[in-house]
Parts: sequence; structure tokens; C-alpha cells
Amino acid sequence: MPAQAEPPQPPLEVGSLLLASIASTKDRVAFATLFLEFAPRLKSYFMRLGMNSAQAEELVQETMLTVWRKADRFDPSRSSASTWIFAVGRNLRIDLLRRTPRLQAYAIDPAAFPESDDASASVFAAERETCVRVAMRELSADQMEVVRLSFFEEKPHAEIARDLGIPLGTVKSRLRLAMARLRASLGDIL
Amino acid sequence: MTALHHPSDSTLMAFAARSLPPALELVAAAHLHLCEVCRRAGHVWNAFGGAYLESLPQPELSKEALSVALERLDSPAPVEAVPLMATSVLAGIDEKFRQSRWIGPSIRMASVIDDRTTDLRAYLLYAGAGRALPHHGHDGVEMTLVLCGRFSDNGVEYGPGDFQELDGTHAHSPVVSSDEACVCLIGSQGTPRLPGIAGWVVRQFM
Repeated sequence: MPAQAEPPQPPLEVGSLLLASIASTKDRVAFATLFLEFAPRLKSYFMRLGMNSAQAEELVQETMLTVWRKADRFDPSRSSASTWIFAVGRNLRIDLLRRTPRLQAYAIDPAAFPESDDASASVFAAERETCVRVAMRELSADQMEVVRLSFFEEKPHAEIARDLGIPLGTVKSRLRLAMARLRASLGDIL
Repeated sequence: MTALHHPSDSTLMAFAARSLPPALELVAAAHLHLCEVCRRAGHVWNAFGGAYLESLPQPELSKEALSVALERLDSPAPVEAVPLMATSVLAGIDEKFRQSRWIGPSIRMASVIDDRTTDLRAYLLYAGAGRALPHHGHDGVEMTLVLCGRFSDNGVEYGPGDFQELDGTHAHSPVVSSDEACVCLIGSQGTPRLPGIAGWVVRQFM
């Protein structure tokens, strides 16, 4: 038995089935289920990136509407539902930020890159998502915190140091150690 | 084209989280476009986004959030803007060369992104065989993708598809080592620091 209770999480496949059901039959119940699961988490994400509650909810609505409209583009052989939904929200936020003609001209959708033609891609995607979650759990709480703040919440290293009350050098070394640890656990699939 | 030098894990993770600034994102995207190895790794780094999302708390949404969402489902979808991809920058190299500016003997550059408010720049640099670029350092990050030809820098060779990533602490002086000209897509954040007159000349153009 694990010493610490993990927050309850749906099995990875559930989200994929809900998205498939939206894509094939415009299933509103499936959408509502996904909404209740992911909309509050997306709100957390946007608020951590500096939006207030109202702005965050507006972007959550846009994200979930895009999920509904583009559900047919979700490919379970490439990613889990949560990875795909995160990417939709993340891209909408960047589009919003770069809404100046100059920068928007260079909008890049990483999801649009060609996938490698690997016959075992589908098996591999599920394995990949599992490996990543295992690797993340292997990071110490301190390491996870700097990874989260630096990569996902876009905090400059100096700001992380100030917020956590630790020296800048410690932030950098924690990140270095965290990345080395991820590389060690994921080396086989990277 | 098999690249030997790739972006760091940190850069690939930042790319996947979309926390790279646009000029650097463009260079990283162009490398991924050319590099199967990094595309595959990119899917691994992408999966961190899903795991991160699952780890977040679920705060209260406004009471009517779900009904608002359901009501909007049938509204017509807007016409999607087609994003200009890194591929169009890669495809437009010859066109860009015609718009490039002379910045020194056998050295020309064409700006792709020039955002002075955030000190972000992306540009194509064309350098003739044997050319040495002025020794320079950077206040910020510089990412270079070789598109054709080769250059060597501090004893390391970079060829087509290769990616070089330098942080603010490095100074370097790349030299074109191929018989043909070397073309690179370069992204930088921060002001390049160059000593002497060569530095002054180049700064006027960047």
C-alpha cells in the first residue's frame, strides 16, 4: 500500500473513449463528463499563468468548445486525452498572447508535426504516457515544484528563487538534477 | 539528414509546454521538423503536459459554467486561421536571400522576427566558405539551426539539421568549414555582446 494517498484519477483510457464518442456521435453526456473532469483543472492552469478567475474561466470555455469541435482530430495512438486537452488549452492561450499581427504570423502548432510512421505507435503512446507519469512521481517534491514552476507556469528562475526563498543557484541545480533524473528514467523511450 | 547535435532536454520540454519565446520556438520547431529523433522525443515531453494537468487541483467553477458550455456547442465554428509553420520559413530561404542585407564580406542576414520590445530576434544568416563570424557573446539565449553547409565552433562541427544552443555565459566564434556557403536559422533573446569595431558594425544590423 502506498504511504500517501494519491488524488483519484480516471484511468487514462476513459478520456480517449469520451473523446471518441464526441467525435462519432456528438455525445453531449460524454462532453459534460469531460468538462467536469478537465474544466476545473484548466482553470487552475490558466490562473497559475497569471489570469484572474473570470479570464481563466473564459479561456476554459474556449478550450472546451475547441475540444468539442476538434474531437475528431484527437488520435489515441499519439497521446492521452489529458495531454491532448492540455495542448488545446496551451495553444489557445499562446494564440491569445501573441495576438499581434507580427507574432501571430509565426504561430506554430507543435501538434501539427508529422508523426513518425511507427507501426507500434498506438501501443507506444499508452506506454509513453505511463512512463512519463512514473518518471514524474520519481522526482522529489522539491524537484517537481521547480519543474512545474519553470516549464509549465513560466516563472523565471529568479522569481522562483524569490517565491520559494531559496538561492538562485539552488533553483538551477534542482532543475538540473530533475532533468537528469527524468533522462535516467525515460532514457529508453527518449 | 541525420542531426548529430540536438536541443537539450530542457529546451524540448519548454518547447512542448510552449514556454519558449516565439523566436526560439521557431528555431526549435524547424529543428523538430528536420529531426525524426527529436520528434519522437517531443511526444514524450508532450505527455508531461497531460500529467501536469491531471496533477492540478480542481477549483470551483461558476455555477452556470457547464450549462454555458453546453449552450455554446451548437454555435457555428469560426474559420480557422492557418498558422504559418516553421516549414514555410524553411521553404522560403531562397526568397529571403533576395531580401537579405549585407553585414560584412560574404555575410548576409535576413530578419524573420525582430521584436525590439522583448529583444527577441530570429534571422537567416548566410556566410560564405571560410568566413569567420565575429567573436561574440550573448546576454540571453541563442539557438542556431544549420540549414546547409557546415560551421565549426570551439572544436565542434555542426552540419545540416544540427542544433546549437548557447546560454548567456558563452562567447563563441563560429567559422564556416564547408566548401559551400553555410545558411543558419538563428533565434536569440537578449542583445548580442560583441567587442570592437566588428561588434559595432554587426550591432547596427541586429
